[in-house]
Parts: sequence; structure tokens; C-alpha cells
Amino acid sequence: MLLYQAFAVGLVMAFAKFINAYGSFAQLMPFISYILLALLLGESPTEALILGAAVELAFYGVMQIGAVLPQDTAVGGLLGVAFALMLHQKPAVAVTLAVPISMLAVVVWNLLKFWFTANVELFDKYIDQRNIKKFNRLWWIQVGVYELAYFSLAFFAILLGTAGVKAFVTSIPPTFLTALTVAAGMLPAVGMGMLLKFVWNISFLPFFIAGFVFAAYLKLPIMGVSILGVAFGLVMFFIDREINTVKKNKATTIQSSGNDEEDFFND
Amino acid sequence: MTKTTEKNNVTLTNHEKKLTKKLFWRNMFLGFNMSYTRQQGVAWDWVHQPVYREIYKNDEDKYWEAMKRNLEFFNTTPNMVGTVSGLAVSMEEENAKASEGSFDTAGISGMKIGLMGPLAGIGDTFFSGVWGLIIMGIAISFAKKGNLVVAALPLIALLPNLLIRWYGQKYGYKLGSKYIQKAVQDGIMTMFTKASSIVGVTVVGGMIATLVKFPIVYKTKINGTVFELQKVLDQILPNMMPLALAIVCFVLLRKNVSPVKVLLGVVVLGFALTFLGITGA
Amino acid sequence: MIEMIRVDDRLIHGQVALLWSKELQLNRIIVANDNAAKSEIQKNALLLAAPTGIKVAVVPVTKAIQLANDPRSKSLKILLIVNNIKDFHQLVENVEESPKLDIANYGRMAGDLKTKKKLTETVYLTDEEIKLVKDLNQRNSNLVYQPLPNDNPTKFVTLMEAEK
Repeated sequence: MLLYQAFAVGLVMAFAKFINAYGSFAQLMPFISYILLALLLGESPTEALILGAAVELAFYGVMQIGAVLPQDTAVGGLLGVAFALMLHQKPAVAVTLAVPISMLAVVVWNLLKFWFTANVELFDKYIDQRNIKKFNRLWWIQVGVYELAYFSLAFFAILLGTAGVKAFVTSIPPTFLTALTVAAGMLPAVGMGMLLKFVWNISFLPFFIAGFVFAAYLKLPIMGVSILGVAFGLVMFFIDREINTVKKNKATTIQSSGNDEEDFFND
Repeated sequence: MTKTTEKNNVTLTNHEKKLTKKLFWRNMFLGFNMSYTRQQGVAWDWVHQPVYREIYKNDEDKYWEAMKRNLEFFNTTPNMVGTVSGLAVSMEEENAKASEGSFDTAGISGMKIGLMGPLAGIGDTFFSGVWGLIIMGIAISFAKKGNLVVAALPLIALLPNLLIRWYGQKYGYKLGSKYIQKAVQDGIMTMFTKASSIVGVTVVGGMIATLVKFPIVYKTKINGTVFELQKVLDQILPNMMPLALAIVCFVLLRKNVSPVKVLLGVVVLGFALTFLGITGA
Repeated sequence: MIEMIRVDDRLIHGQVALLWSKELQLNRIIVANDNAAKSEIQKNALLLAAPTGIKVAVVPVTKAIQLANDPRSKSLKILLIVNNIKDFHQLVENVEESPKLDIANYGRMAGDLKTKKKLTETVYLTDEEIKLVKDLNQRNSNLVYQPLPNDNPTKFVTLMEAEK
């Protein structure tokens, strides 16, 4: 049974990591993986989604910018949810497992990238030898090893880790679990703070307030808030376009003598 | 007259269609096999290899020279590769047609190097920043309730990705860099990022109210009446504590406190308040 | 105020547009690069990548120095970006202020990596460039390696010493 479970999680992991790199389709794909995971494990997909939502919420705001990978959220999320799903635990447990796993899993990627880097010389050599067969073969071997590495990681984590994780999870005292649930609920605030930092501009304050009021007082679901957000965005877009055309007309009449320097200092 | 024909000349011949499609699908692999020294350089070569083969089908030397030349460092947001890829292929075609020594291939490298950074700037801001945040927020709010609708959401989520890949490549290939210039002159991109940032900020405001939890269970009796702190706070401002917590995190992060410290701080706060009996589940 | 001078192969990209611009709360970015200033495509692409609310100037190095030393720059928050050590050296020598200097991503784009010294995953320098950087360090010792705002700034001298 455990062997099959480990195999199933391994497969989903290989799928998740493939989609992560293929066409950068990673967006939203975690949820597909969680549903897939539940189906293969014979558990409830609804349950998997609820666990997954808690994990993704904790990861929210961790962005992968410029190929600097601070956390492997795909590995952390999938293993965290898999353990919690198999052991029928609360979302807080999934989060508790997912966060440290995601940090440890970065090592695997670093090792793979190290190997890929060493192979660059081989690719270079194959081009010098004008041997496209070897070039393509090495390319696919690398893709294969990448897939196999993550499959094995998940496979062995489930096969060898489940007993330990179970012992750990059942040893958590109830008050501790309550505290964990509270902390997991508060964690998304960090992600929100992070995202605000990235998009913040004091002139956006009215929209922030509006978004909060829509949800807090009018109890609109996020979908509704987003649609209203789109409406605001469009309004500002049209205003900006209007201003732009006026500016352009002015510029052509006055002829801005092409003085880039003035333009740089002016607001 | 000539101007309008030039503008509309983005229809592809059958041969070009085949090439564009092949390139589109192969470009999906740009994110594989990244290395420290070349990043996506090897992937670029693998993606474009059959296209180069076709362009230089009569010139073995030029084909291998192109392979060697394009193994160079390359790194951009994979979703944005279409524009560079389309432009690069049209330049390679010119190189193939040009007589020996009349085309400077350094221009191709120059274009790739010049565009990959700025395109990554736009791509990261939009895909990781704004779009990712909105679509993920919606998805989480469905998933939280165990709603399987979430499985259909990627269809919407992937649209901008696919459209930018396809049209970026097509316009890059057919129009060259002209459309980039036009986008700058119209200021369309700045307006677009600003508009989408507004959507983002609105959604974050909503998500703080719905997705951040700060459940206060503290109760006490004052003069015989039960005093529930959460109810009092709700009367002042619903979701006041999640808002306060998010703002504190935002301010700390803006003051360059490291995210890991803020994260740990929040966890410690959650534990401390629960042990004190103020918060609970 | 010049907030920072950064060396980056790719000039403006995600790390700059999204992270550093917010971290330093910039309102101007000067790309100091002779080639980019000449090429319409590259110039346009760089302007396109400008984050909301930030003006970008793509100018030759000499012009960048002039802009940086303009008294009107004092009231602005400016990031200067170059993509090679030579330009970097020229800027630091001629800009009156002594801002933070950051060599973030450099050296993987051109030349043979085997002839270069690998100082970090993202910085490769030739012997000549190391000399230039050492010279710079005496002028302004606030010289660090810090690709992302959340990375710990490492004193660049320590990297060069560790290499020997």
C-alpha cells in the first residue's frame, strides 16, 4: 500500500515539476496537482484542495524572480499536502510540513543545475563535432534525469518518511496544534505585505481601501472584488490615455526641441 | 497607401505558418536545463535547432556557426521569449540570404542581449507580480471551500501567457522591432502596467479581509455582562486585526526587515497569543 | 541622490524593475551605456521595461555622468546601471557622490569563461577587471555583491581575496 502511495506521489511530483518548466505553466497548476494527487491516492479531492489552499496561502508572496529560487514550493506543497492527506490531518499540519520541506528541496535543484552547468562544455563540444544526435541525446537525458530526480525525491520521502511524520504529527499536543492553526491563518499577512510592497504607490491607496471595504463590509467574494478592480483599472487606463493624447498634441505644437535632459528632470 | 499595407502585412505564408508553429511549441521548453553559466543558452539552441537547419539548409558551415553563436548566455522570462525568438529568426533568415560577409551576425547577439533584460522586466512584473497575484487569489478563495471549479481556472490563467508567446513571436518575426517602438511611443505599456497594478492593489485589499485570519477568543466578565473582544472589534471595523497585521508586515518589509524575520515574527505572535488565550481556533 | 550604481549584464530586468526599484523607492533610472543609447531597439525596449512611475534615461556614459552631477539630481532618487566594469569605473571616478556600489551579474555574457575568475555564481571577472575593481574599492569602499535586495550584501573585496 505504502509502495503504491509513494509511487503515486512520485508520479504527481514528476508531472508538477514538468509543468513547472514547460511553458512556465506553473501558475495555478498546484491545484491541478493536488486534485490529481487525491484521485491517485483514493482520497477526497475536496479535502486535498482545502489542504492545498492553506499551503498556497502560506507560500503566497514568495515569488520566483530572476531565477533565484528561495523555496521550492512545488515540492514543499505537494509533499506537505500528501502527508496531511494520507494521515488525515488538519491544514495547519500540511503547512507545518510544507514550509521546511520547500526550503530543503532547493538543494535538489542546485545539484541539478550544477550538473547542467558542467554539461554545457559537452554541448559546446558536440557543436564543434557537428553532431546533432549527441546534442539532442544529452538534452533529453537531462530532461529525463530532472524528472527522475523529483520522482525519486517524492517516492522515497513518502516511502521512508511517512512513519516518522506520523509519529511527529501525533505527538503534537492539542494546544500546540491550535496555536499552529492560528499561526497558519496569520501567515498570509506576510505574503500580502510583500505583494503590497511590490505594487505599492501612494496614489493606489483609494483602491486598496475600496478592495478592503468590498470584502469586509459588502462580503463580496474575491472574484467580485477582482472584477471591480478591473473596472477601476480600466477607468484609470482611459484617463491616462486621454492625458497622453493631450500631452502629445501639445508636444507637437510646441516642438519640444528634443531636449532629453530637461525631460529627464521634469515630472 | 504604402504605410497601411506595411502595417497589415502580418499574414503568414504557409511555409511561415509551419515554422512559426514549430517555434511556438518548441519555445515551451525554454525553461528546461538551465545552467549557471549560460542560463537558457543551451535551451535556446535546442529550441531553434530545426529552424536554423531549415534556414541554412544549403549551407552546412553557416548552420553550425549559428548553433555555436547562439549557445551564448540567454535569460529572460520564458513567457516573453516569443518576441526575441521571432526577431532572431527573421535576422537569421537575412543572414542566410546575404552574401558572404555582408551581414554582421553580431547584430543578432546584440538584439538578444539588448532585449532579454527589458522583456524580463516587463514579464516578471506582470506574470509573477500582478497577474499571478490576482489569479492565485481567486483560485485560493475557491480551493479553500473545496470548490472543484478551480480545476478550470488555469484555462483563463494561461491565456495571457499563450497570447504573448504567440503574438510576440509573430510580430517580432514579421514586423521586427517596429512594434516595440510603437508601444513605447504610445506609452501603452506603462498605462497597462499601472492599470493592472490597480487591479492588484484592489484584490490585495479584498484578500486581507477574506484570507488572513486573526481569530480572537478572549472573553471576560465586566459587571456581570460578558465582554467578547472580537465582537467589540467587529463593531469598530470588521476584519480590523487582519488589516492591522498586514499593514504592520508591509511597513516592516518596506523598512527592509528580512521577510524570513517577519515570517518568524508572525508565527511567534500566533503562538504567544494562543498560549495567552487571546487567539484560538 | 544617487541611491546606487549597479553592474548588470542585462541592465534592466526583473530583479531591477520589480525588486530594487521598490526597495530603493526610486523615481529615476539612468542606463549608462554607449551601445544601448545608439540602438533604437534596445533603447525602446529599456524604456518599455521602466516600472510604473519611474523615468528611464538611456544615455552614453559621459552624458550619464553629466546627469548624475546635475544639481537637480539631488532631489531625485536615482539608480545608475552599467553593464561592464570599464563604464562602471568611469562612472564611479566622475560622479561626485559616493553611493552604494553593487556588482550583481557580470561576465557570463561575453568572452571565454575559462579565462575569467569566478567570484560568485553570477560574477566572472578577468584579471584586468579585478584590477579596476580594486582601484575602485579604494575610492569608495561601499562596494558589495548583492543581486537581490533580500540577499546579504557581501563586501566585494572579500570575494576577490578569497579567490587568490
